[in-house]
Amino acid sequence: MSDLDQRPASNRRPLAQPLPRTWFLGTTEYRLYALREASALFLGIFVINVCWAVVALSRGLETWERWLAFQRHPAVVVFTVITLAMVLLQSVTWFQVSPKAIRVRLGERQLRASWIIAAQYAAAFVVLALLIWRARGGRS
Amino acid sequence: MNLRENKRADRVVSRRTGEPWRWALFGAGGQVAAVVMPALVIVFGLLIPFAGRGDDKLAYERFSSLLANPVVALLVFGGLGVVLWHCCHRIYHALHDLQIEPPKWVRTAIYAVAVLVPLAGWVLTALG
Repeated sequence: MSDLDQRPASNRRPLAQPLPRTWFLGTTEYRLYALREASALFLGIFVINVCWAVVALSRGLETWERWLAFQRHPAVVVFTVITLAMVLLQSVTWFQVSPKAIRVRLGERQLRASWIIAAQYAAAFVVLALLIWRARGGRS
Repeated sequence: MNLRENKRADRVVSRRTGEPWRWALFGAGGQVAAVVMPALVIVFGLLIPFAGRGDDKLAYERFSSLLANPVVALLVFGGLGVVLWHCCHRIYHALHDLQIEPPKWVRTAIYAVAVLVPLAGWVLTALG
């Protein structure tokens, strides 16, 4: 930090106005950002829910049925549907920016951003297909 | 002069934080979340609960036999753990956006959720 920033506010260097608390509702970009950040809460609660499901699976059929009954509670269904929308938003935006973080070099050139994005969509669909296949029987 | 420079260097070193490795876990969790979580929400949140009795018994048999393997259970809770870490990291940093500057124990508590929940789940599954 430079000495300039340490100086007290004056007429020539007025104090910056504090942001209003609801600044994130200000523009469409801010609202999208806020929505995306809010998705972390839904996602986190769902992960805890899945941890419970895995423990229930290890405890026997009765415990598992109780977990399923809880999932069918209307309030939980509403939560799950909101979570699905949130998680799709989170995934799509994550895939969209991922080429900025992932660089794949091919000799002199780099793999095009669209291929990196496509590969991640493909991975997400493979995971979905594997889970459905396993849930519906699969190889024992 | 030399002494002063040393002191300054000490101050720089003492400003080191755990931020880099917390950030790395955040990145790993985000990647796992983006690829895996939509499928988990669709299959575990909606498809299996509404598939009907016969099908959810089948799902129980298939998934519980997988999880009987302790290595699989460890991987599952490891994956869920990094995703939860990612979420807790974002929730903590969202407090700043809401102009809440919580005391340090709040941060500890939030990150502790990300460590303790998957750990407890794994212990309960392994002992189950």
